Formats: sequence, structure tokens, C-alpha cells
Amino acid sequence: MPVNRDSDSPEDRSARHFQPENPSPEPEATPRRARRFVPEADAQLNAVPSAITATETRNGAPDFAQLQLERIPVRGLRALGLGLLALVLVIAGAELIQLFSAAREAHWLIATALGALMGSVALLALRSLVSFMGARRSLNRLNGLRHLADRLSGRRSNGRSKVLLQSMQGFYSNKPQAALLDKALKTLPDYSDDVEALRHLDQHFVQQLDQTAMQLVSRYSAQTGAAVAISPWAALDMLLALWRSISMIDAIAQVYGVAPSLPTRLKLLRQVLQQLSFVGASEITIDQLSGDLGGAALTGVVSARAGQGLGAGILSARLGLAAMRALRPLPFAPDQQPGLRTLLRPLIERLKQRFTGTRRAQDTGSNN
Amino acid sequence: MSNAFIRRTRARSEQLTRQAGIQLDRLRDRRLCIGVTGLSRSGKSTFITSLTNQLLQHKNANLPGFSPVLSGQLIDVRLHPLETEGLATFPYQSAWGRLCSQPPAWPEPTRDTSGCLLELRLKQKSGRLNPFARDHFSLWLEIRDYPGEWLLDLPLRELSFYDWSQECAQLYAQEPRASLAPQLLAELAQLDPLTEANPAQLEKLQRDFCAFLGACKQQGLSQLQPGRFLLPGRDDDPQLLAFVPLLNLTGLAEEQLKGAAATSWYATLQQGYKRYVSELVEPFYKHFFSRIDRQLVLVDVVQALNGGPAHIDDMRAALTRITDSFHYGHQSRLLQLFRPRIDRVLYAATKIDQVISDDHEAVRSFLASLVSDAYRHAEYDGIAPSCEATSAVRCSREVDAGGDRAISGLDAQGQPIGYVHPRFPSRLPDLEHWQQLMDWQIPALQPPVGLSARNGDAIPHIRLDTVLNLLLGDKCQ
Repeated sequence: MPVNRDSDSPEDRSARHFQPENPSPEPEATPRRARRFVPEADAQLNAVPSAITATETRNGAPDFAQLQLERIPVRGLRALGLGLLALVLVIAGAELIQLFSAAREAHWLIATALGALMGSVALLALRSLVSFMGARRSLNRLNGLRHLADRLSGRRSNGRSKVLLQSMQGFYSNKPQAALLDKALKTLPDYSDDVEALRHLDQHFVQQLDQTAMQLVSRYSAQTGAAVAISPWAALDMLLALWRSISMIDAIAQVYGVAPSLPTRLKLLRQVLQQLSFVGASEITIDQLSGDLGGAALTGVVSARAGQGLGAGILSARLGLAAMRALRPLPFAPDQQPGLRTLLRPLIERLKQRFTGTRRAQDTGSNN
Repeated sequence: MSNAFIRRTRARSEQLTRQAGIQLDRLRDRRLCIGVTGLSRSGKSTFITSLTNQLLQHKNANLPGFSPVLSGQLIDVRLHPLETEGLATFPYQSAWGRLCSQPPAWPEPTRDTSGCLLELRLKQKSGRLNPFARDHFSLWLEIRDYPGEWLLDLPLRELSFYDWSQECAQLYAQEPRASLAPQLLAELAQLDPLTEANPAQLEKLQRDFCAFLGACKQQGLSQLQPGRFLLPGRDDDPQLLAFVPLLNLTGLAEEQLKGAAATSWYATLQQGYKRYVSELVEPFYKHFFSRIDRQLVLVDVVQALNGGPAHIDDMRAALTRITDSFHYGHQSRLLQLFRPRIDRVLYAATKIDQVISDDHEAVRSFLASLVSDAYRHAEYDGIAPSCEATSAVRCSREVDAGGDRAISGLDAQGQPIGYVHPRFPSRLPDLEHWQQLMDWQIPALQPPVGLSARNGDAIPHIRLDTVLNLLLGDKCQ
């Protein structure tokens, strides 16, 4: 029998029309009629008025926010760090030189071998540096796109979006997303101004990518939650969650057309953590959770372990959403920020399934 | 001859040392460039005058919100001319003199660029271990003033002539601009970009276009480009002001226009536009805005609200477009030398003394919503701008008039006047409320009588101490 969650009485309701009562208007301040007058002698501005300063109250309320204390910087920390680094480098260099001269005194063959080794290590370091910088380019270009789009949104100008569309095409050329982008650009009406062009692109291209990314986040967070719930060691949980999160971020980057590589992963992880601090945990409360779990089921089913799994799953889902925000070529419009709730249901389903399944298995195990 | 050579070399080396000293001060965080940004008539010169005055007269001034004054850390302030050659000194003395004269008057509207350098002498806690430690240091502030009209040229730096013309066409097709000069706009729309240009006609069109911009300004509109058409600089070559926008480019592809003959309207006007941008706008940007560390944006909210919805939208668009030219962000001081970024932005509603203090908060909130687009740009780079309702010169007092709070001051003739104003909204109001605000005639107030330069009076202000603290507080430690 379906559970009726509403508190309505099951009696029949007869249809009727009614006029909703006018909600009492807000106690609006009495309108002030503008007028001029000649002030009386004691109300005239006879002397220089006194200044109104920051300590003055506004609207009668004390204004502590106005008197801000300045941050006291700890000076020289960064310089100290740099100095230490320089010192270490100098010492290492001196050691190397000493080693080399010692080798030269021993035999010229040893010196040559050592020199060749040093040279090749230096070359390798240079090569890694160059490829490291090269691998970052993809993400940097994506960030540039978002910055440009952010500047364009919210204003009715013409012709500025051309640059954005071109650089977007450049970014996605030779990538699997190019076909979808081309399709979206073909249907772009030619009369559109910048905001409209952005909106069109958002609807016909980026939101398609969003869907795929959301599915990914949902799948990964459910997996993480389930895995943490059944894993026996806490230390393993952390490693597991970290590993799953990193591979989730990689997968989302793929969806938005950023090739996975070490530097992008590092930079993304940093951006994602920054994003996380913006989106407070207040987005979701225990009340909502219990609703999703199904009231009575909560107390019966939830154990410490399932709770851990749920927590890990939610964290993973939030990480996924933050990664989407960091990777999206256009910024999310304020009304279409993806919420955690849509991701929660599959996570909980999965957990419940897994958990009741394992418990049953345990039960049968103990019975035997 | 050798004498001349020696003199030249000496001058050159002196200049180099001075430059090196300036850069060193910047590197030590002892020198700041403050960009005072504001559209014309937003009260930039008055604001700079008052700010300078508060600092010079800090002993008499009422600045409890500015921490160095409160803690007695500020010892002395001096006013110097800026080192930049060819830049006039900010006429502080004459502006201050006008405020103190009988009857008092507002500073003259700015017609050309000027600048000044303020030296704040501050106490410093000296380290006991360092034998070379001094117990004082100087903080140098660069402040520059310029006609607000020119500020609107900054967006042109990133626009091609084609895009600018398209924007103009869009803007001029709408009220209130469309009905200001229908004949000129029709003439401009009839110009065929591909036919041969006629210099005499161009001259006439340019003159009419200037008059049209002047009429827009009279109406209180904000988006007036190019700004130097309204107010040419003293040394500007009139040859550089020879172009107008083309309003009928929509039907033509850009390739077609690129192939236009060198004597065609399109090519001639584009040439003029490019020269204007590269020879007037770019140097202005380079000298005035490319190196600022802190930005103060002044907005005359009261006047704009009085103008109505179209004016507010126009002002919002203008302010947003201007911020595109600035770069925001936190970074290390070394990078700041080569690639300056603004790390604090303060939006200030000016002339708030026209409004009773109960409504100050509403005006402040309104300002925040007015500049929200401009705001976002800074927030994107991790800077949180602040908003404040201020007045550089308070020239009114609040009185009670038949149950209503009212403003009492002196009108332009020096006669006592009082008024009650409509309630100010904290967000965009509905039509009826707009009408009330638009019907209200703001009386022009005169500066207060009785300020005396000889006694070292400080100008009465509203929350300038907050402004000072936000701009400088953290650099004084």
C-alpha cells in the first residue's frame, strides 16, 4: 500500500472557487510628500555642520561592522621560505661541484660519466618542465573562456560574443564535443545579441555536457558511498574516497573537453577545494536527508557504517558538483545551479540496497 | 657644448634615480596610486579636495574611523606635486579657497588633467635589535584628477570602429536619445559607407554630433562617447576629433567593408577613430589608470534616481563598461611593479548630504544593486568590493519639519532653504515611486558658510573616515 505522506484527511473534497484574501500589505512606511519650506531661524544652517563619521549609528542600530580592524600581517614568512629554498639550492650546487671536481681528480673517465649524467638529468628536468607547462594550456584556455563569458553575461551588447564563439570552436576542435558544438552553432539565430547567443550556446551545447557530467557524479558518488559503507578499515576508506574522487574529476574533465594530465589534475583539485569552501554544507540538512531516506527507515536501517558511507557519498557528490563548476566553459546561471538533492536519491538507493543486502548476509551468517 | 652635455646627463641621471626611488617605494609598500573614478559631475574634484583637506587638517578633522588618526600614529601630512613631467598640480589651494570664500563656492569643474602626491608621515614601532631602525616612515599617495567625460573613452580601447558603430546604432535607436537629434541621426543613417567621403560634410556632421552629445549630457545621460568631443584636452589636435559613427552597417558584411576604397566614408572614419583611440585614449589610460593599486568609484546616485529609469540603466551600463578596462586581483608586490592589479575597490555614493540620515542605508543598498554588474567583475578575481554612502562636504543639517525629518541648508543664492524629500528606495522602485522621485526637484545646495582656511578648519564630511580607512588603513602599519 502506498504510504500517504501528506497529512490531509482522506475524506472527499468538494470543488469550489474562492477569492484568496488579500495578504495584508507590508507595514509600509508612510509615504513622504516632497515639499520645500523656509526653515525657521533656529533650524537654519547657521554654522558649519558637524561631520557624520563611521562611529555614528545608522537607523539607530550600532554599526560595529563599520569599524574594521586591519589584519596584522606576519611579515617575512614568504621571504624566509624563499631564502631557505635558495640556501638549499646553493648547498646542492656546491655539493655537485665538489663531487665533480673530486671525480676529475680521480679519473677523467669518471668525470666524463658524471658530467654526462648531470647533463642528461638537467635535460630531462627541462623537458618535464616544458611538457608540464604545455599540459596546463588546455585548462588555462578553458578558464579564459569562462572569464570571457562571465564578462559578456548580463549586458546587451552586440558582436562581442563572436570572439567567444570562435575561441570556443578553437578549444573544442579535434575533440569529440566538436560535433555537438557545430550543431548548436548552426541553429544559432543570426539576429541574436550577445546574451542571447550565450544562452543559446548554454542550452544547446553546455547543458548537454552537464547531463553527462551529472550522471557521472551520481554514479561515482554512489559507488564511493557504497564502498566506504562496506569497507572494514577507516584508513582504507580515506584512500578509497580520494582515489575515486580523483578519477571522478578526471572523468568530468573529459566530458568538458579537458585532456587529463598531472598538472591539470593538481590545478583542478585546488580549484575544486576552493569551490567547496564557497558552497557551504548548509545546502543540505539532516531533515532533508531523513525525508529522502524515508522517515521510519532511518532509525531502523542506519548504522554507524551506513552513516559513514552516506557522508562519504555526499562529500563525493559535492566534489563532483564543484568540479563541474570549475570545468564548465560558461558559468552556471544563478537559477540553474545543480543541486545536491537530485544526486542524493540514487546514492541512498544504492546504499540501502547494499546495506540491507549485506545485513541479510550477516544475519544468515550468524544464524548458521 | 660640453656644459650642455653635462647638464643633460645630470638631468637624465636625476630622473633615473627618482624613478628608481619611486619603484623602490612601491616595492616596499610605501607608495600607492589611488584611482579616483567617476563620471562627470559625480564630484571627483570636490572629493579629492576634501580628502586632502581631512588628511592635512587631521588634528582638527573628525576621523574616528581612520585607524592611524585614532591611534595617534599619523604625525604629519604634506602635499607635493607629482613627479610626472607636464602634469599640472591639483589645484587644492584654489578649491579650498573657494570653499572658504564669502559666499562659499564649489570647486571649478575639471577641464584638464592634474595630480598631486600626499606624504603621510607615520609612526613606526622600531625594532630593538635593529640599529638602523627609524621610528617614522612616509607613505606616499598618488592621486590624479581628470575630466569625467574622458573616462567613457576607456571602453573604446577594446572596440573596433565597426563594433562601436553597431553599438551606437543600437543606442541611438532608443529613447531618450532618438528624439534628441532626429535630423542628425537620419543624416548619419543615410551615409553610404562605401561611397566617397566628403570632408565638408564630415566637418558639419562632426559639429552636429558634438551638439547632440552635449544635448544628451544636458539630459543627464551617462554613456557619451567619445568623451573628448564634449571636452577636448588643452593640447588636443582638432584633427584627431574628425569622425562620427556610421549607423547603417547592419546590411554589410565585414569583408565587404574591409575592401572599401581608402577614400570611402567607412575607411576615412575608421582611420579617424583609430587615430583617436591610439593617440588620445591609450596615453590617457596608460598615465592615469594602468598603474593604480586601489580604486575609488564615485557615483551620484541621488541625481541618477532623480532622472528616472532610463538614466539609471544608462549609468549602470556606463559603469559596467568602464570596469572592463581594469584588472583586479591579489598578488605579490614584485609582480605589482610590472603588472599592477587593483586589490581593493570601494564604491561611494556621493553628495549623500542631500538625503536625511534615515535613508542613507537605502541609498547604499541601492548603489550596491546599481553596480552589481561592475562588482561581479572584481568578485571574479577574488576581490570583495565595498559600498559606502558618503559626502565630501556636508552642507546641510537635519531638522524636524511638521513631523517629517527634513534637510536644512543654503540654496544657490545663499538663502536658507529646507526641504522634505521622497523616501529613497533600497532597490529599483515601481513606477509610482519613480514618479515621486522624478517630480522631486533637488535644490542645489551651497557649501556651508563659516569655513576658515586660516584657522585650519577641516571640512565637515559624511563617512570620509570609512573611505580613508578602506583605502589606506592596512598600509599604515
